[in-house]
This record gives sequence, C-alpha cells and structure tokens, in this order.
Amino acid sequence: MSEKLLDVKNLVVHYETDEEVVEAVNGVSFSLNKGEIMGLVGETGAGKTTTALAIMGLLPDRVANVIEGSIEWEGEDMLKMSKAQMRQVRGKKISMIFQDPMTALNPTIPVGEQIAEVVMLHEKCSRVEAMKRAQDMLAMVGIVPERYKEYPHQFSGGMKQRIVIAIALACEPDLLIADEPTTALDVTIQAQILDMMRNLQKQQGTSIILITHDLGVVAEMCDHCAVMYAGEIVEHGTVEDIFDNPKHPYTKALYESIPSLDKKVDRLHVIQGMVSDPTCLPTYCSFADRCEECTEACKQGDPTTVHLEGEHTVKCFKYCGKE
Amino acid sequence: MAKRHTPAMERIEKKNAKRKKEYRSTPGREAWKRFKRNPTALVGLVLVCALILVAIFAPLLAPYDYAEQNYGAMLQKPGPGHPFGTDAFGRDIFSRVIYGARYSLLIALFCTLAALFSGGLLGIIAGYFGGTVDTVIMRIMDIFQAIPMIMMAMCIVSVLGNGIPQLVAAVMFCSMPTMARNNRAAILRVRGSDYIEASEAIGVGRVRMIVRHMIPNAVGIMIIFFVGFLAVSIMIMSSMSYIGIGLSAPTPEWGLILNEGKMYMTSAPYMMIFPAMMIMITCFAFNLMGDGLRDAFDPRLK
Amino acid sequence: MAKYILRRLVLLIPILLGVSAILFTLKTLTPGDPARLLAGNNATEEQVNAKREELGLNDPVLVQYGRYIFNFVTKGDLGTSYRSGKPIVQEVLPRLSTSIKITFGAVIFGACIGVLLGIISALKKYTWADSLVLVLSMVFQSVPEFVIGLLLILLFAVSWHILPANGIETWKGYIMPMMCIGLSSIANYTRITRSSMLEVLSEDYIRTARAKGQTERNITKKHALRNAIIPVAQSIGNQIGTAIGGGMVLETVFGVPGVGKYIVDAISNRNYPAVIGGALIIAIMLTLINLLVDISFVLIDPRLKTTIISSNKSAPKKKAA
Repeated sequence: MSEKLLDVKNLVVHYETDEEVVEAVNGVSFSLNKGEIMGLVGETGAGKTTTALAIMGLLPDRVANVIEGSIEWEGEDMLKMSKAQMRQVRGKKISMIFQDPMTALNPTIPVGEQIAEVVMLHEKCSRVEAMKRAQDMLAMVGIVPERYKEYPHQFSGGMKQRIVIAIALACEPDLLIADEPTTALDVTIQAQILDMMRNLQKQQGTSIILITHDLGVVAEMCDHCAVMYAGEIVEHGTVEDIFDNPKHPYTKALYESIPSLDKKVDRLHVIQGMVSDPTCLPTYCSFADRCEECTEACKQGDPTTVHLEGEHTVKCFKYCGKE
Repeated sequence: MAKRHTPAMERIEKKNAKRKKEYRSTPGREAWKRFKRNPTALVGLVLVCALILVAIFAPLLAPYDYAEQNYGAMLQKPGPGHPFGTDAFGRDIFSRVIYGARYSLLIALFCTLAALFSGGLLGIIAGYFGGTVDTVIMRIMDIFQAIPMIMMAMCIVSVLGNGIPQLVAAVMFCSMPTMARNNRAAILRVRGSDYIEASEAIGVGRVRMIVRHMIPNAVGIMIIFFVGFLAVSIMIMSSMSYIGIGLSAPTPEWGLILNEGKMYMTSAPYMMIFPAMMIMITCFAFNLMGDGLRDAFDPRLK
Repeated sequence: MAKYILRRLVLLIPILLGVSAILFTLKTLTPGDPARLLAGNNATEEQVNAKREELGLNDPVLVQYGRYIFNFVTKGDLGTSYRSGKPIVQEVLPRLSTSIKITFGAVIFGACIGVLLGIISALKKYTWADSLVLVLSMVFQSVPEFVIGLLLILLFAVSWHILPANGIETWKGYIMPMMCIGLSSIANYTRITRSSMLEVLSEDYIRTARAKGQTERNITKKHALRNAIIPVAQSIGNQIGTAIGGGMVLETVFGVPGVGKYIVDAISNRNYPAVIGGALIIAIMLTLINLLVDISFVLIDPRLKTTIISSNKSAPKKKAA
C-alpha cells in the first residue's frame, strides 16, 4: 500500500454571478497515491477542469466559491492554506498543463526564460543555473536546447505543448494535472506527447491526473479512472473495472457512442437528451432524465455512492443494497 | 431545484420571483438592461436630458435676453438679480449661459450629424466594398489625419470666415478621418462575422444584407460614436471660439463667453467659472452616457 | 529592419504631398488678394500687378503648387510672412523646439499617470478605487484643455503666485501648459491600459504563471504589463497629434511663443502663408513622430519584429489582425 498523496473529499464548487448559480462540482471525492495515473473522463461541462483548478487553488476570484469539502495534500487541507503557502505548492509540488498550448505561453518572453522562471521560484539557484536547467528541460522534451532564446510564436503547436510540459516538470513535481493536454493537437502529435508524458512519469515517479474526454487515452495511460457527469463522479475504479465491467448506465452509454473499427454500424449510438443545465440541477439523480434504465426510484432521490468489489464505486440506484 | 442550496441561490430566486412576466430578450433590450444597471451611465443620461430641456426652454428659464445690454448693471457680482453676475456690457451671464446651452448643443448636434454623414458614409463605403475603393479612401484619410484635428478646423475656418455653417463645415472636415476609420472598423467587424458569411452563402441580396443584417449589428457602435463625438465637437468648438476663431459676438456660445471674460480674470473670475462649468458638465454628461452605452452594447469591451 | 524603415520612409512621400496639397488648396481659396496686401494700401494698380507677377500668382494653380513644393524641397522655403516679410521657415523653426518640448513633456506626464491609474483600476476592478479612477480621468477628459488652463492660472498664478501665468522665461512657465495637455489625455491612457490589462490578465499564460507559483506582484510586473503596454504604446502616436492640437490653444492661453501661437496669431492677422506654412511643418513633424513610434513599437513586440523581418508582404496583414 503506497502512501496517499492527494485526498479530495466531498468537494462542492459553485460559480456565482448576479444572474445565476452554476453548480459546477457537486460532492466529488477521490484520492490518489504516489506514482499513480488517474484519468478523469466526462463531457464538456462535467466539472473536470473546475476540479483541477480547485486543486491548484486557481479558481477565479469572486465568481467561484468552494461551498464544502476539503482537498488534502499529504494530510494537510490545501483549502485552508494561505496564499503564500499555496504558491509554495504550485509549480513545486503540483503543476498543471493547460488545454490550449497556443495561448498558455507568454508571447513576449523567450521560452527558456519562461521555464527558468519556475525553477528560480522554487529552487534556490542563480539565474545562470536556472537557464541551464531550462535548457536541460528543453532537451528532455525533445527540443534543441539552443532554441531557448526564441519566442513562443516561433514554435509549432506540438512544440509549444512540449514547452508547457517542460515548465510543468521543471521542478519535478509530485503531482501533474494534465487538462486535456492533447485536445488542441493533431492526432499524430497527440501520441508523441502522451508517450513523452508516460516516459517522464516513469523517470520521475510523478503522479498524474489526466483530464480528457477521450476514453482511448485513458485506457492507454491510466491506472485508475473516474467518470464525471454533471459535477459528480458517477463511477470510479481501476481501468480494468471501468473498461471490462462498466456498471453505471452513463459509462455504458459512453462506450456505445464510440465508433467501432470492427463492426459496421449504420448510426452511432447517441445518449438521448442534453446534459442537465448546471444552473438548475434536479434534486434527484442528475442522469435520470437521459438514463435508459431509469426507474421510479431514480426520480425520487439522489443515489449514494455504492462500493462494489475492490476499489470500484458507482453512484446509481441499480446497485443500492447489493454491496 | 438544486443539489445544494446556497445563500446566493436564494437571493437570485427572490429576484426572479419579483419579475412579473417573461420577456423576450433582444440585443436592444439586453443593452438597455445593462445600461440601467450602470449608475454612472444613468447620471449621464439624466444630465443630458436636463441639458436638452434647458436648451429647449431657454426663453422661459432665462430672465433676460442673451444680447440685452444694461449699462446700469455692469460687472456685477453674482447676486439676487443676476445669479451668475453680469459681464462688461451689463449682460446677464445666467441668461447667456442658459442660451449658450441652446447654441452649443445645437451646433454640436449639427457638427456631429455632418461628421457622421460625411466621414461615416466614407467609412461604411470603404468597409463594405473593400478592395481598391477601401484603399483609396483610407489613404486619403491617412493624409487628412496627418494634420491635428483642431489645427485643421482652425485653418478651414480661417479660410471660410467666422459663422455657424463655416464652423460646422470645419468640424466635419477635420473629424472625417477619425469618423471614417471608426465606422469602417465597425462595418468590417460586422462584415467579417460568420453570420454575414452564412447569409451570403444562402444567397441574401445585397440590399437586404446591408439593411437587415449589417446595419442592425453596427448601429450600437454608431450610437456610441455619435454620443462620444458630441462631447468632442463641443470641446473643439469652445476651444476655437475661446481663442477667437469660429464664432463671433454676441453669439452666447460658452467658449465665446469665456473669451469675453478673460480680460477680467483677476477681478471678476465668476465670469469664467460658470460657462466653464457648463462646458465641463455637458462634456462630462456626454462622456458618461457614451461610456455607459459602450459597456451596454458591447459588454466584452469593459 | 532597415528595409522596413526605408519602406516606411518612402510611404511618407505621398502623405506629405497630400498634406501639402490640402493646405495649399486652402491657401488658394482664401479671400483677399495677397499681392495687394503685400504691396501696401497706397500701391497703384501697376505696382500690385508687378507684385502679383513677382509672386507668380498669375500662373495656373498647379504650377503654383509645383513651385511651392519645389522651393520647399530644394531651398526649404515656404514663402514669406505677410506681416513681417521674413521667410516663414525662419520664423517657425525657432518656435518648433518650444512646442516639441511642451508636447513631449505633456505626453510623458499624461502617459505615466494614465498608465499607472489604468493598472490600479484593472487590478482593483469593480471596486470603489476602480470607479474613482474612471470617473476622475473622465472628468479631466471632459474639460477642454484651455478650461483646465484657465483654472490652473486662477489657482497657481492668480491666487497663489507660484507659477507665472504667461510666457516661458523660466522653466516654471512650462509646467502649466504641460500639465493641462497631460491631464486631459489621462483618460485615454487609463482606459486603454485598463482594458488591455484586464484582457491580458484573463489570458491563459497568466494562469500558467500562477500555476508556476509566481506572486501576483511579479505576474503583473513580468507577464501582464509587458503585453498590456503594447496597445498603449500604439495609441501614443495618436495622442501626440491631439497633444499638438491642444498645445495650439494652450500656447495662446499661456502666451507661450510656440508654433501653435504663431499659427493662431497668423489666423487672426489673415497671414495665410504663415498659417499654411506652420501647419505644414507641424504635419511633417507629426508624421515623423508617428513613424518613430511605429518603429519603437516593433522593437517592443517580438512577434511583429519577426513578421516584418522574415516576410515583408505579410507584415501589414498580421498587424491588422
């Protein structure tokens, strides 16, 4: 049993404006051990990125509110940390790769300096050493180190993402949160980036939370997988659990909507209806209105999370009382 | 309905409960809604309305005629008979300032309309047709822009002579490059949008395209220019008449009143303070309103 | 880079020709006969005719324009002042340095305060400080420069006797004109800085910097400011034009012997060659300054530098986008 790195308990995040309240994350709990890769899957708007930003302490000021819950890092609640303490964590212990590499780099600062910045913030070293480290990092992600003086616009999209990854890994963080790291990239480059991340993870022993809506990527990369729907984790387990033995109707529906190479299908399976409006979630199960296996009970109340064998959990009435 | 109730939700629910009926949301209504919420914009609107009323009802509000000279009451300090005092000819400054609203606002309106029609039209033509037409118009505007606005206006007035039509023409010419540029940008922004391409793709005719699709989408920006330029033209006009170019006595234009008062600056500063205040208040009101309109029509700009 | 500057310099020629054409057209439209004015009130018809011939006023307008340009380019001659009989260039050039000093002082003063207020306003957005800054800068924007000038004179010269109300015999004379033009331009800088700061602060790379654990202070200084300042720098060119225009009025208000006052005096004296000559010199100066601003702007923004150096054809397109 390896030690627990991150423990998110019953996290609730709302976005509040004058007009409406968006229930982005509703009671998410999960934990992550050292060296593990966890996949976070779900549709757009399921609350994946909000969860990630909450862990980083980067939720937008004033608008986003953490209503409940805790995020413990090695036993300490990060939500109670001061801003200065959080700055010590960000970049050094937890770092994040953002969705769009095109805009994630500062266009007026040379890339080497942008990598060196994070090194100088967290390692006690001189500017020269930091620049040296930045060049090493560039080499590590497969970019000629001599290009450290160049500006972001002189690199292609895939290379920019490598630079973003170099920034994220420069201080050898314990946890890397990758928020759809390959969505904005070409398919051929996707594979390279994922390969690189996996190799780096093996070298440095970093834990990774991989946010994606691509189930294929999860199957390839992850140890664990959590499926999110409307701000809740509806199913969580090892990759084997989720892929070979999906329990939640939403997870099953997700599989059915993936086009298959071996079978010829006339129409793809579509999940009926729309994602529940996050400003007006039902008091009962959020997925009930689209669920093909919906029963009377589903419209009465919200199901609790049920533990199945091993680490496999599912949030559905079908499995209540079958523990 | 929600998973977890928070105080913020209850506040919003209360607010929604107060709203009696569902209303159709149109861009204009949305803009008005945003405008209404902006206190500074409302202050601007109220001030502008008040000034317009003053201008309309000037003969009723002013106790004297603006040109009426009274040698028995020269250079009087503000007091009961003359709330803002009198000038060197014994004219009542309060009445002159009130009538000044009429002249200043009216001339500013003419200037702005002329500027919008000439420069605006050029800009719209350049933006809509593009290509050579655009290049030619905009290069000419570049040339005009090399001469500072107020200097251009002064040169034109010096050639044409003093008077209201000459002043309007001068302001029109000197503002042409800015107006053309702004309107061209507005049209280009609309023209480049996907919905225009989409309408082109489904074969919408040229006239219908301009009338139905482009003008309604650019009209917000043009209203913003209109209100903003009212303030600019009042400033140009008063600056010019202050240094004695553009209008001649006894027109009660605020800049001209200031010009007449500058000889008595040390002995009778009240002669300058009131008209100066009026210029400030008017431009301030237009700017507040213009800013509010900009935020209302294009919340992303804020 | 040298190629870019050269191309921009070549592009100046049509603009300056156009400006001189506009101004020359105005001059020919002016009422009154310059020959009669120069010859004096008691001149006979022959004397006036001789003068007209001497000035070349009997030639077609285009020939006159050609000669005007030719004389200016080869001899630096813009004609003579009706009033003093001296060459206009000789009269204007000594005054130009005064006007430039005031303009630059004003732009620097206005830009520093405006940018500072804009940053404060963006960092404290939607608070009372933000609203205060915006209302205050708009108050200054709403007052014509000469009204600010009058109020400052009433305050500093008439009531307190700290600064001279007239002239620039000492350095103190420069303070009030600079302040007036500077104050009225604050609103522009504040607004541009604020909106561009807000835009930049919501960019993804700011989030990247936060994710690095960088302090908010350094994020503002290192990441946001440098990107946010670009549109502000771009606007300085326009502001210089406005400042020169405002300077014309203020030089009259403060009795400063600059080009602005020269032109205003010439207008009241119906001294048209002086008006047009002065305006032409100002226009040339303004165009050159704008060119300098554009070039320095290219130096700040590395993206533009590479586009301009690598491909000359795509450069304007990139800039427009």
